[in-house]
Amino acid sequence: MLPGLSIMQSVALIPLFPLLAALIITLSGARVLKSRSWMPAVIGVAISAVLALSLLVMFQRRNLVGVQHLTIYHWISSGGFSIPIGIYVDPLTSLFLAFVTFVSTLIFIYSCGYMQGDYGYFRFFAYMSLFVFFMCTLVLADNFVLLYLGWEGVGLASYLLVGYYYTRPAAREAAKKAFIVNRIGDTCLAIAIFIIYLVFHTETFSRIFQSNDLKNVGFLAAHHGTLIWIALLLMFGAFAKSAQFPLHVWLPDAMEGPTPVSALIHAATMVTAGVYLIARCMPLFTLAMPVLHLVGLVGCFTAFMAATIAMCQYDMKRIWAYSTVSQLGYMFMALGVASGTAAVFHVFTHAFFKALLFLSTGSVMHAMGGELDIRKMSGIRKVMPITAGCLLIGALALAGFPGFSGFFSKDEILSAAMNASWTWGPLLSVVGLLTALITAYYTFRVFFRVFMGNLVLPATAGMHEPSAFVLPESAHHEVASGHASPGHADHQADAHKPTDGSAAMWMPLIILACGAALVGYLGVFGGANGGGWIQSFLSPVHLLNGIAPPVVITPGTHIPVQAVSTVRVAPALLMGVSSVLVLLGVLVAAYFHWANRRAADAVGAALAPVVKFLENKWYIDELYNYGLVQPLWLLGQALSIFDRFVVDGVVFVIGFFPQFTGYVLKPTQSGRLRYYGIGMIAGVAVVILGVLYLLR
Amino acid sequence: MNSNLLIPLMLLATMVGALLVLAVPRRDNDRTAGMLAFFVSLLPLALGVLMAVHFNYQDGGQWQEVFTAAWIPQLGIRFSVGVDSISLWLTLLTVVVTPLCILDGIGKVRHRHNEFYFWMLLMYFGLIGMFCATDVMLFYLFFEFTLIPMFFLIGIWGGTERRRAAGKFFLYAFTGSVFVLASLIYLAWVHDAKFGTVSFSLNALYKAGQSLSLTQQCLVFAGLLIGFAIKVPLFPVHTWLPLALTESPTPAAVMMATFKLGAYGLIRFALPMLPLAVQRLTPLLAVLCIISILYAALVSWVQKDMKKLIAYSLVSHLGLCVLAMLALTTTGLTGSVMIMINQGLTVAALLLIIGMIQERYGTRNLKDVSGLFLRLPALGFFVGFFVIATVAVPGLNGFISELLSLLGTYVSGGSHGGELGPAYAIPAALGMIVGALYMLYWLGKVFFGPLEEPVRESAAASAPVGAPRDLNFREWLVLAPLAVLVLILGIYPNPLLRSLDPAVNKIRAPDVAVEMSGPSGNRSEMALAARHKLLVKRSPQVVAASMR
Repeated sequence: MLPGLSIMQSVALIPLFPLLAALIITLSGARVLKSRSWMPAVIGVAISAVLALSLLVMFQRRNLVGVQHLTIYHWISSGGFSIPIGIYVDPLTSLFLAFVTFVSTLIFIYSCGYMQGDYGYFRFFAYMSLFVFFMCTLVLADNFVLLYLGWEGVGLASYLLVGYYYTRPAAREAAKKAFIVNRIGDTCLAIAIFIIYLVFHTETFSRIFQSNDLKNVGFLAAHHGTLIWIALLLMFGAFAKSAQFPLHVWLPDAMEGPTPVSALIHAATMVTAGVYLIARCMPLFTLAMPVLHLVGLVGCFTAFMAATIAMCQYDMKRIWAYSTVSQLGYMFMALGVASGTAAVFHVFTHAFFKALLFLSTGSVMHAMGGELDIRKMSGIRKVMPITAGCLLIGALALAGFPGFSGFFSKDEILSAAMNASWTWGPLLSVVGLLTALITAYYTFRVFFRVFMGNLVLPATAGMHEPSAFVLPESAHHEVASGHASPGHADHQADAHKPTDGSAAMWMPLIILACGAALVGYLGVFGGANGGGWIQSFLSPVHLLNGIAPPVVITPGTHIPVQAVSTVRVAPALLMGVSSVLVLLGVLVAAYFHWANRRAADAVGAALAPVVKFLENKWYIDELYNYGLVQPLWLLGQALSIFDRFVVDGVVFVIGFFPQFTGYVLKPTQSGRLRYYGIGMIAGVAVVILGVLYLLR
Repeated sequence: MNSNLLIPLMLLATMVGALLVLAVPRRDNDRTAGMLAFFVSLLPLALGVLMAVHFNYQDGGQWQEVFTAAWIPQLGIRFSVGVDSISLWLTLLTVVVTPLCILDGIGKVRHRHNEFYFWMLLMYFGLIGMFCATDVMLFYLFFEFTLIPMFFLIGIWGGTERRRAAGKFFLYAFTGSVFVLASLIYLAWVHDAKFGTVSFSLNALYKAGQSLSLTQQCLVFAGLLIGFAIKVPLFPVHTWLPLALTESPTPAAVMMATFKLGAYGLIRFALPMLPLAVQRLTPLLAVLCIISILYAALVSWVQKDMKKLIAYSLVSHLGLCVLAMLALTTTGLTGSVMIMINQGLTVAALLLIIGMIQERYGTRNLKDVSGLFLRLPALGFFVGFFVIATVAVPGLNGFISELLSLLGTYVSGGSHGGELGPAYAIPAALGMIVGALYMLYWLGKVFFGPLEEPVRESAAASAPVGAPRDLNFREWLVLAPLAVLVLILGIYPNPLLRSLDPAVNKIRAPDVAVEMSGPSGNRSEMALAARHKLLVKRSPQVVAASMR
């Protein structure tokens, strides 16, 4: 693709352009680039996006087929353990790369407008570029250890970006929480990597997934338990990164980061890494069906739980965060019924509409001086019409309104679950339908509250948020001299009318809105045999939708699976039911939050205990705090005291022993020779006996 | 130049340099002694680089650059130095980090300059000698010798409790070394009795040690362990370290924390010399290591003093280092050596940084400062960088060592050799979580959050002129090389790892070192056969356990 380089070499460069940008910004951002720090970042990620899209086109035109490899160099080798830096490219990789870099580019451009005037500007773009590097590495990796590099790397970038406003204690705590919770999953992933090495003697994807061992009945029988463990640990890794119950607690708090970060990392890309991992490892998961079913059940529960919480939150970003958790639950539901295609399709559409929702929310936040409480604003479509239109499209897509992207992908999941061979599949589908109703309600609750009705603006509207990065003495200095340079403490004097923001902000919104409205049709039209483009594009991916294992290993332990084996409910009927439910949800939201807001308060008062339970997020944070964090901290304190007084003390006593012995034995030093003689003989005898005993 | 002279030249340079520095007239606020010491300390670095260029990495397990001279022939003690790949890398770590410590000391040491750098250079001398000695008695002398400069560095330039700290440090370390000495002399005596020659050469003592019965090996091992475990330090004999590290002046603290004397002693002596004892005692010791990892990590989390926090984190990391060593797999041993190198680099940087904070604010207490990133962005960048390396994020060096150590422990017990396995590796892996917990807690507390600085006597609170400045040129010069090494060893550690393979394999299968001749052949063969029998006997269970 690039002159002088082979296709695979060009693909290998995709992560490197953002990395180069990150390096340039880190080295020169503070002193040379300053407010131009966006330039290398946008250029880097745009080049990557062009390369990634051309890769997609190559797979589409069959210039590339199957799985492509390139080994770049040997990273780690010790004994038989050998890890190359290498890339593995198939349609799944290519699809992920394409939407990650494309959405990143749009969000980077948006950020130029959104972050303008922020003192930490260059840090923001350095971290964001670093994130794109790690995310591309994650999806390009050809082995588990390199994937782990991307995996922890995106976690690190997320830590840095959530803690971007580091002077705020809430941001600091949220960043730490995100990293630690992810670390729990990472540790599980690391242990899975160890077991994989023990079983397969390699970490390379192609050698594991296409190994003859996986077709060998004897091998499978001998390693059945081990394979279950591998899948279970990979699952926990995926749950932490993709915020599934019980490891979802970090994601809502991560909204402390700047809004473009929430859009890119905590909605569109990073959190879908868990889905990628399980989709990629489907050949292993189909050999551990109980685990795959657990994935589906947890996904289903998470989808429902997060949706209920989203109903009773008041902070716009938090509502979208819970909605992300909920939508990720849908994706895991799809994986649970071995339908990788449906999961990836939803990842793809979700990336567009959720990024759109977050960025529109960012515009609202920008215009309202940082205020996001939906109780404090109303009718703001009148001051920011473009944002209102874009957010509406995003909301329609998220709610799964017929004709918008979320409708098609969600429906694919519900239908896959309904028609899965697994007995409990229909249950997932029914809960999924119920969740769709709730989703439509909470999504439009936000829209009707904030954009419809009479115009009410919060007191902070039109102001800039005070900069978090001002040294005490320089703030003092500026106020004194009356000179405010961009990026330093802004004053109420330069408050302006809230608007849609600069073109850098609303142009990406419009592009994403087109995506959110239209990408769903890729799952319906454009494919071979009258199917969707995405299904036929992903069809060459190895075992993405499960397999029938060669032979049933032991009766009752293995169920041969095929993604869709029975047709319980016709897809068209399911579509109809879900459309009705979504319309119902929208209408309920319209009544309570637009037409008759007092009624909503009355219902809320009537259901106070439920509302309180949901407002407090099912008390899961409290459970962690009092059940795990506080006890561990107390244990640490106790051990510290133990260390100080007992461990050190015992050694001190031992050190004191010679002195003490001398004191006790002083009377024996009587000066009488015969006692000394007896003592000597006794001592020598003891020593000789001891030595004889030991050296026998 | 005859490359065999490289190591003696390094030793000579440091010794002569130390004497020269001592001759510099003592004046307060004079940098002459410091600058002289710094330039002297660069000589071994240059020689070390030469050695690294000349080294044959294919034969990393062989002693190279060997220099031998008769010393006390009556006792069979020779001045014999050389490096295999383990020693080479640890020596290189020494010659890289020590000049940076000295550079850090310039401008910070307030009194008795010449003596300070004299002791620093002597410490340098002792460390190089210790990592390069191939005669056991020579090793022991260097090992003991390092105590003396450290004692004075703590006792004269330390904090308020320096005397107690120096005394405690010396007593602990000295008590331990007595047992080491007794064990080594016993082994030399065994060699004399069985093979008829008095010798303290490594190979001779390997042979002697391997010829012992299990009980004898266990006794000797216990002796070595007391000394080395104190030095490592492992739970429960670690309590000297927090005090000594806290009270040491920064450069001495870095020297104490960076160079893993105890771990080196274990891997070089205890493991290959006493295979049966290691085999037998491994599970017990591994439990101590796991306690070290988790216990010290939790204690580290609640510390108020930054240096204490680092001290306990050191105990935690070294627990993993010894655990991986005891796994007796190629991967585990490599991981263990990598911890010695990688953790050495990062802990050095973190201690230097804490020194820089202390110099600016006069406090190391977590409660006194907050949000420093706003005031000191460059320092904050380095802190973040090294914390990320310490919590083993891939791409930086800490990951390589943790991955290999844990993997080596996990696969131990099956066809890869060794006695441990998942039951030991999984609790140790939990250390990864707690490790992130305390490091990020520290980072967040000190560098993030609202800016809070203690009021200093020198500057009035309202006058911004007195606000601490970000890194100066000298401090950049100290931290940047460490950061570069941390990055390089994270991205491309493979040459280093490859060169370690032959050396660690020699430690795993120490029979390579023994010439099967004379009366020795029989006994050591028996010992090895017994060891293999043990392996074969145990492995099916362990394999089964790992499958479960």
